[in-house]
Amino acid sequence: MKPTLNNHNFQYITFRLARNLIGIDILDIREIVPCIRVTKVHRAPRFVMGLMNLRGQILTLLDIGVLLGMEKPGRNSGSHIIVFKHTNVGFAVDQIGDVFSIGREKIESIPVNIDPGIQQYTDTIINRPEGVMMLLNAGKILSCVRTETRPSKEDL
Amino acid sequence: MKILIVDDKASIRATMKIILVHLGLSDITEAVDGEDAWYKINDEAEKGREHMFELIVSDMEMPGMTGLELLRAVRTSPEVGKTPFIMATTVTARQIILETMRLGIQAYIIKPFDAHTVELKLKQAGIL
Amino acid sequence: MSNDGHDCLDAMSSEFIAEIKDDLASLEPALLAMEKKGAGTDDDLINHAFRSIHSIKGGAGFINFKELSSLSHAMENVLMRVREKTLVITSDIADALLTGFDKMKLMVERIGKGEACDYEKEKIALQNILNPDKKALGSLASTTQFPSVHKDSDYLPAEAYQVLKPLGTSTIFQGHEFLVDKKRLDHALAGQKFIYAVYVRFETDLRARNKGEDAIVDDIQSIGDILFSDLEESRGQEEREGFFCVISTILDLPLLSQVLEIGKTQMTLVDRQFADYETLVKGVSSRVAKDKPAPEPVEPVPAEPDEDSAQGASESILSASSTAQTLRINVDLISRLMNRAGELVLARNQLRPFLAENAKENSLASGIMQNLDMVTTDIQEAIMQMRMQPVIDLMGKYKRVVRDIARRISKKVDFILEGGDVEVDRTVLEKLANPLTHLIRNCIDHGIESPKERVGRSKPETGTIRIKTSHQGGQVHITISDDGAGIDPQLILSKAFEKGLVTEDQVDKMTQKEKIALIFLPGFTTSEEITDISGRGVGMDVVKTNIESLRGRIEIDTVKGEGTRVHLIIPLTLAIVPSLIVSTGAFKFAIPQVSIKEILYLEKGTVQNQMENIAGSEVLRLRGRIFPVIRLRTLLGIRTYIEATGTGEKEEEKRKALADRRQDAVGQDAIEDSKKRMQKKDRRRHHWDTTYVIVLKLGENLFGLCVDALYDIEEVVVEPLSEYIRHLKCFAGTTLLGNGDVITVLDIQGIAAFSSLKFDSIKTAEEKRNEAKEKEAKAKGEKRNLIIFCSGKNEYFALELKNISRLESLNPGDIHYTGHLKYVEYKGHAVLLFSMDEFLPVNEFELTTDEIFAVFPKHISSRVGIIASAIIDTIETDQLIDRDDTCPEPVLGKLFMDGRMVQVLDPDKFAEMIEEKLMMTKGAGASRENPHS
Repeated sequence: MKPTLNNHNFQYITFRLARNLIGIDILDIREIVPCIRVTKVHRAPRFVMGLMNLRGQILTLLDIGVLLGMEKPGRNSGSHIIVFKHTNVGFAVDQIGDVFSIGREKIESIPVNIDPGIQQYTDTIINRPEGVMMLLNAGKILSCVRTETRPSKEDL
Repeated sequence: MKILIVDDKASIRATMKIILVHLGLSDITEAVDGEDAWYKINDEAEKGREHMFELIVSDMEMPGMTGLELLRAVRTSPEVGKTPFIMATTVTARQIILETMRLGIQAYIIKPFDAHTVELKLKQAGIL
Repeated sequence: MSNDGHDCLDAMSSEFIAEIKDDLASLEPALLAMEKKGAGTDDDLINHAFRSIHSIKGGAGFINFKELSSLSHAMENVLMRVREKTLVITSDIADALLTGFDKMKLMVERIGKGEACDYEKEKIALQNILNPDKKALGSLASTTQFPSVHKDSDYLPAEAYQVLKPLGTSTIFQGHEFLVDKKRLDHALAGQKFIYAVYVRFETDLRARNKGEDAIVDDIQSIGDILFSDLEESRGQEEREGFFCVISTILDLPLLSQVLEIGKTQMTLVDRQFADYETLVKGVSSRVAKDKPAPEPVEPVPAEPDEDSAQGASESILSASSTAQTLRINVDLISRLMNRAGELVLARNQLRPFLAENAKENSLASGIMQNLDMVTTDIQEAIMQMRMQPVIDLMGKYKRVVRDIARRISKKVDFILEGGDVEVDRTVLEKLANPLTHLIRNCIDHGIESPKERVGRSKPETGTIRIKTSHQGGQVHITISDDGAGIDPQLILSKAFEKGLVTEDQVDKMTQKEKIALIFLPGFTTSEEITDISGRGVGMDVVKTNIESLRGRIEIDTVKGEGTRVHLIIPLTLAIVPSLIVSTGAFKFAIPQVSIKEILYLEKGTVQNQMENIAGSEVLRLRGRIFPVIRLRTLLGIRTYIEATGTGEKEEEKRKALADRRQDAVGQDAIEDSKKRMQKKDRRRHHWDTTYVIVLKLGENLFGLCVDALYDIEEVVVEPLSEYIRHLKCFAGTTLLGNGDVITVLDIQGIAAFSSLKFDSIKTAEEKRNEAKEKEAKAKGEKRNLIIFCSGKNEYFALELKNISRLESLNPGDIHYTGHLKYVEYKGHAVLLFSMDEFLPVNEFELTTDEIFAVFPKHISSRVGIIASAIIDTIETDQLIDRDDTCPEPVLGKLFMDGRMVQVLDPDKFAEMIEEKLMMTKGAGASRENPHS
């Protein structure tokens, strides 16, 4: 399945998170880099995984598993970092899948019965042969600091 | 057409240059004040007639040697005395205008100038 | 094509604005200096000011900024008169000029924001200077009297003459036609000259200006040709008020009006049948058209993209030799460049091992490395340099501030600036603006007395405020001094007392300096009445906070009646911070070096002994001072994963979070590193429960931070925290270490706040405790562990054990003499030895025995020891120590032990004495060296 360079098509990249298949619009991604030494930030919110040096720029890594309520802090042991476009913010994922291209009409809104914690950061899904795939909303994730109120474990 | 633009303001020099280039005059040298200009005028003249500037466009108020002094120097020089000279200035003091006119200039451009004005003045001066 | 020209001009407007700002900046000091010098102002200065305003006017015109153009024109007129020496700048004139200047500055600031500035008031004030009699000559309506209808004679042959009709609607020329010599007209037209009809009034244009008819004719002939004139005919005709003439010239109408000193309404272009004529008119009116709301070009412009000329343009611009020495660069661009340079350094560091590897086989590699090193360093330095700005850029502005305030409150103040060329990082400079303004205002308002008072105190009538800036060891020192009234510590004290900022007890113990420092307390103000300049009660505390946020410090010296000197010490740059790298558990952190007062090493077992608990905080006692201690481990909730070595560690590691595990890898390196360091340099062995206490300064307060290990001091580039962690108080930013690791930079102030350190309650608790102890000691006599040593033959001294850091035995042969100073070598360092006779009236110490001892007291530099001929004993005693009048200063008292009289030394006073002694030897050394040099 090769991605086509058709602008009318929606292209996304997939990864797995706690057995869930998740996708993200490739237009939201700046780059994908291997995960190297991550510096923990003490007393940081739970959803902050740490800091990483990306060619002299300091990336703040978010813990997407925690944000989506799928994992406990520190569980995510990704091999790659997906860096959001126009930012120095990224998140770790374990296995990067392929880039897929589909028609925009295939994107559906998320069913209402899904965990509100997940709905906070995803609002669309794509039905794939292997199951439903959630599409991350990069804007909502990046503004998580304003929506995330669950206190950090460290603060307690 | 070999032109010397004299002004202590880089922005004015650049503006004048852009306009002149648009008018098809692209052999342009810049000088930052009267003295700089005077040196450049003479340096070029020493290389021979064909190197001489064919037009001087000068500001009036500059640190050191002013445009008026430059004009006076040019006009009293046997070598470059006949070089067409245009004043581009905000100075509107009558004594100064009278003096420049007596010394002989081809146009008196009042800043701010625009492409139209410069084009017209160059036509007046017989350059275009 | 002409459209392109306009676009270019628009694109350049930001350049013009920047230049206008520059000119404005240079205008103000010139105006101030001119006011000060009055009639004695030198021409250079006047010319400078004139040129500035003149350029502003020019620039304003270019970007079609009419308000600014008009106001600067009014200013120029005044300065013109000054230049002609027909006007001397008085304070009133300076006021008008300066308010005009302010308005201009405001206009420039508001540019593009669509807000109109009303400048009529300023303009009129300026005009009134030139016309003191006539107030507010807004638009002078010309008192036109229509000339009697003039009829042209039509008897001349038509071929030789051409009829010209004046254009426009002016009533002066209505119905008039002029016959001009066709040959001369053609000649003028060939030269594309303007042809004007001019009406010259005998009364207003000539007689009122003391001008003869010849003079005007002369003037016209200097600027062009007279094609027609009815001067001769009008002469002697009483009903004629003026004469008409037609002239050809290259001058525009406004200039013509200016040169001939004839109103614009009395001149007009004339009509003629000439192809280019339209162009001429359009040329003149094009600017007017541009000023109107819809400035569409009148004639359709052929939209042919002129490739050739465009290319020619760029080429010639590129090829032309630029004469400019400076270039304006966007600050963001510099920041970007700086970040990239940081990356370059990092890449270089990563490349280094590979090149080093290659260097063995290929000799080229080391050369490449060296080259790369040099270039990288050079780039980094150059970029840092780009961020630097001379302080005069900021300080120069205060000339005006000082002048205005002084004038407002009728004080006379001279303002002297020294070291304006000292350069600091622009961000530092920006943050200095507020505190400096405040300090200077204070100087004028509170410092400098009124002229009357000053004369009364036999001081010069005019006070002086001096700002001196200098570089000293990577820091900028700024001293703001005045010769005013000084600060009365008593007054400060009573104010502070009145406001309940201090208690009576505290006051008693305060030194002069501490009393003065009270003005830094929040909510402190001494001004009797609140003036609009200062004394609002928010002042010095804000100044202090501002300076501290720059990682700088502030000190005040003052002598009542003589003046005050405020000393600011600030770092050159905020971007690069020398920091100590420390670690706790597996994590490294950076601590800005400026906050560090000293570093203590507490060994295993002594940690608990030296820490106490007061008022709910752990505290540490150091040289009689007591301060709270925070454990970084607890503060940040760091759990220790690495206990020792062995296999247990690995098992534990598996359960750990990824981030931690990765960090552990770093930590492992760090620990290895640290161990190596310990083996190499440190005689002490490393234990996990030993600790380093970093003593940190926070204003006047101290607190300690316990960390596990220390590394190098590195110059780190601090980057702000991302928004997700910005709220964490404990961190000031993040940074990259040389090896590419990301670490956080600790925020000292934040840590203190986060831990809610209660410095005051610790102090009071400590004071109470001390009092109780003293009482107890007085009643019972305190238990002391004393070490008794012998100096000379039979004179015995004692120091409390806790005040001694170590004892050493020495061979007298080990002592090296330099003059009368004695040294021994200790671990590669020269240690200075004193004997007791150098402090106390006791017998001279003689080196008679084979073995001598050195006692190293705590609390002083470790490089000083006291020679003892023998160490007698250590005893524990609660015996009362007798103090009598015969006891010399450092002796606490005497006690008797086994038949020996022992003088117990007061550790603090003794330490002081040693320090003094050290100072003296230093001084002596210096004075000895002087004659040689």
